[in-house]
Amino acid sequence: MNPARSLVVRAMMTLACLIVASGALVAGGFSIYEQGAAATAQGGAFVARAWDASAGFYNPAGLAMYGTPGQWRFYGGITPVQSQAKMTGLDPFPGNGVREKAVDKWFPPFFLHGSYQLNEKVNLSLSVTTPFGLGTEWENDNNTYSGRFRSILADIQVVYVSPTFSYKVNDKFAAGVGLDYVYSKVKLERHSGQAFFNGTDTRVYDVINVKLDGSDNGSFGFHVAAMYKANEQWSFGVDYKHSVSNKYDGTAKFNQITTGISLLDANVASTLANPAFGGTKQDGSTKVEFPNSFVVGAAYKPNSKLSLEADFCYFGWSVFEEVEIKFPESQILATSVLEENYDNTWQIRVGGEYWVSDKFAVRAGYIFDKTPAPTETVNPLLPDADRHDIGLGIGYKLNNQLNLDVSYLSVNFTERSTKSRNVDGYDGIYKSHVNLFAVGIGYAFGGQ
Amino acid sequence: MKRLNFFLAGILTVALMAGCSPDYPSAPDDELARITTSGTADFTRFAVAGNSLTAGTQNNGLSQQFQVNSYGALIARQLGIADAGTLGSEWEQPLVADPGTSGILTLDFATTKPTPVTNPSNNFINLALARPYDNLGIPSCFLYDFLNTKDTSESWTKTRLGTGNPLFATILRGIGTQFTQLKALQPTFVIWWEGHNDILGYATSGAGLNGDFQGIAGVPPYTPLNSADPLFPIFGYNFNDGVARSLDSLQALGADAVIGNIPDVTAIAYFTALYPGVTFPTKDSVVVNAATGAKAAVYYQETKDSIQFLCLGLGSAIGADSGGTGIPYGLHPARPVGGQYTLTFAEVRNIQTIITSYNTSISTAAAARNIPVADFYALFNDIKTSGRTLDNGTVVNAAFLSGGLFSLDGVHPASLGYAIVANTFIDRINAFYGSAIPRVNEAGFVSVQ
Repeated sequence: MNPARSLVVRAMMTLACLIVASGALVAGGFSIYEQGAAATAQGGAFVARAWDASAGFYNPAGLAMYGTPGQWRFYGGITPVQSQAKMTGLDPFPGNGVREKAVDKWFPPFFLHGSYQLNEKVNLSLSVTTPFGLGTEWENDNNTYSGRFRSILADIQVVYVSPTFSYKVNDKFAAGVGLDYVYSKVKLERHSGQAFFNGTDTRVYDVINVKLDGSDNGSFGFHVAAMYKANEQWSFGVDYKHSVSNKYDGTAKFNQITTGISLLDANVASTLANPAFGGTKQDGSTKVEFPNSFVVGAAYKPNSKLSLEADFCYFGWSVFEEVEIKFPESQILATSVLEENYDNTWQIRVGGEYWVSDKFAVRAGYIFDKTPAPTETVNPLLPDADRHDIGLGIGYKLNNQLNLDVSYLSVNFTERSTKSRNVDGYDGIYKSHVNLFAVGIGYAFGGQ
Repeated sequence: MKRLNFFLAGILTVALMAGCSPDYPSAPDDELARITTSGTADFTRFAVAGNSLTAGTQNNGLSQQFQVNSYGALIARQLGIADAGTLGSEWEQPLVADPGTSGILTLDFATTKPTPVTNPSNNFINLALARPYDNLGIPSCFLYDFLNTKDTSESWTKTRLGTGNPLFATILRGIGTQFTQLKALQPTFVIWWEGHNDILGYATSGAGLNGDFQGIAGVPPYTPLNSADPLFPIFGYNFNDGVARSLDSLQALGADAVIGNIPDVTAIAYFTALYPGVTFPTKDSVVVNAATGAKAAVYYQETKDSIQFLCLGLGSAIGADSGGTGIPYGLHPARPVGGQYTLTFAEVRNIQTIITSYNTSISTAAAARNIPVADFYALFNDIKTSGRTLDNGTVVNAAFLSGGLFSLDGVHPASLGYAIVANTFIDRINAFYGSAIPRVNEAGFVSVQ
């Protein structure tokens, strides 16, 4: 590795480690398509227009298309996400009517886009985004949460650092290509149980708390995009992001939970103390594959105030087959596998904006988001479902340099039942809701 | 700006509406699983007869908290009888108030030793029922008793082994034998499961000394198989004949029926573990001091190398200073572990031969009368070898306490075990009669809360 490149990678890593963020289940699986506030208000239908610096995520070709030579453009913001989920159990386990609730959580995904227009044709940009993320934690007071042997906490924190080169071929056509450096961390927690006849019934007792904490110090992906402006009214865009394989190495911790039953406690203690077990703190590793995505969209601008867009997004979720945890140091622990078997899926995104005045715009959008999770693998780690999202927002230009966007996206999950077919024997009907708020500030200077 | 205000109001409204937390999805109606088709069988009046396994014994006793999960009650509920097996239901059992009959065990959590409850109720709460019970299971009932015993004084244990079982008087209440009471119920469908005690006591008593029940006091003999058996002249009764007569009587009821055979007794937890807390790493030595791990050599009456199984009861006997000799039991050549606590390889082979012969007797007699047999011999051996995976993924096995299947006495199933017994009968009934009795939810008997 040459020193200059190594320095760049190290800088990216440092940046990434500092700002890694987890997310809620905003879009199908655990993708988060909300990397700009103006786009979010319009349901993310932005690939064919991508006129602000969030183009670094939505369609980097837009940067070259709309840049002015010598101009710097920055666009940054946060998208506070509130995630809520509830489950009602089904027979045979945990049984009809058993109720479980996820911890209400706030996540702060963020985005930061910077671009510099070198000349008429060339634009260089760097985007720091969180296009994937997961954070589900179920309330487990007094160890009574019925899904605790499957998943108590699952947290995937992701940051993409994406340098991109875009090129304007002519006034109608521009293209972009870039790298994605991906840093991510994962945390998983669950309990291990042991069946025991306690004199009145056969109970499964909590005997071990298992926690995995791992990180992937850098995986790479790439993205390519293009934009075509047919005329003043019509424009089209495409964007492809490649899949990223993440390998997480870290530590697995096993803490004994005492039951007060001497025989059981002694058995568990001797298992944990057995050298073949590998220790209560040992290496653990897992893999998670982020899918590729392909987005194509068309925008229509009937007049200078109004623009409308419709996008079709395809996600290659079939790469997400399982969450597998390996314990290389243990001769006793089997590899733990949670099946996911996701299907490839798609979303329809429609939205638009209307400039009420030179300074003020209103925006709205709608998303239909088809879940990639098959009925059999819907689980408390990822209680996925089809979603209908509604976005609303406003944009305000303070002056020629500064603009502000504020948006709200309501992510409405449909009710999702495992229909007593869950592969892991944990059946229920899940209902979730996510509120997403996005605030973005744009700043531009230089160039004429 | 009017349009702006309107728009902001819109955002606010949506935000407030959407900000509400989602409601819990509503659960589907928790209706009792009901039989959808009876096939060629008639389940209108259902009754069961047998021994403690039919009575729903758990933890060495009867208690209504366990009796509600007798296999008969479980199947009756699958047949659509609401709350079958509970007090006042349409399907009645001789219920005992909690905590149950004398000797019923509870688990001492600190030592994990099953110990008898200190306050047994011995209170049968519906003795006044003006008809026979639908569950005619009587603990310690032998094959002989089904047709012949109206009272404790007539029971096999009283007339052949010397000690009467008072439960015959209590449950039969002087209104006939198990069979005549079954007949009085005019059943349309009967489950009959007898014959276990005819070999069980012999096995759990270590088959005496070198297989001889006469060698050690209190070791009961098994029931002779046929008229050529050397024990036959002593008892004047044999298993082959008893099964044939019992099944003839069942047929005379005109009811549809299913019967069960006898598990290999060495597949039960009684022979797979000692009392927990007593550590027997091998049959050579026992840990006498848990704190230091100090061990002592164990001495046996039977040749040590010939021993295959140690009986559960040895755990509480070993090391005890009974008889005031000052010599700890089993830990000195002068007081070796008696033959009643050990099964030698030869004794096990002999017991298995007897059980196999009993089962052949049952299957032959049943086949001749076109009565289906549920195969518990295969079931329990299969569980012993490979455990059983429940619908929810939980794996249970035959290990004492930690296995989940057997109750604290190591012989009788726990509720989960009875659910598996019920499903074994249900599967056989459905296969033979073309009925569709829904299976009991086994996973529902494993609690994680």
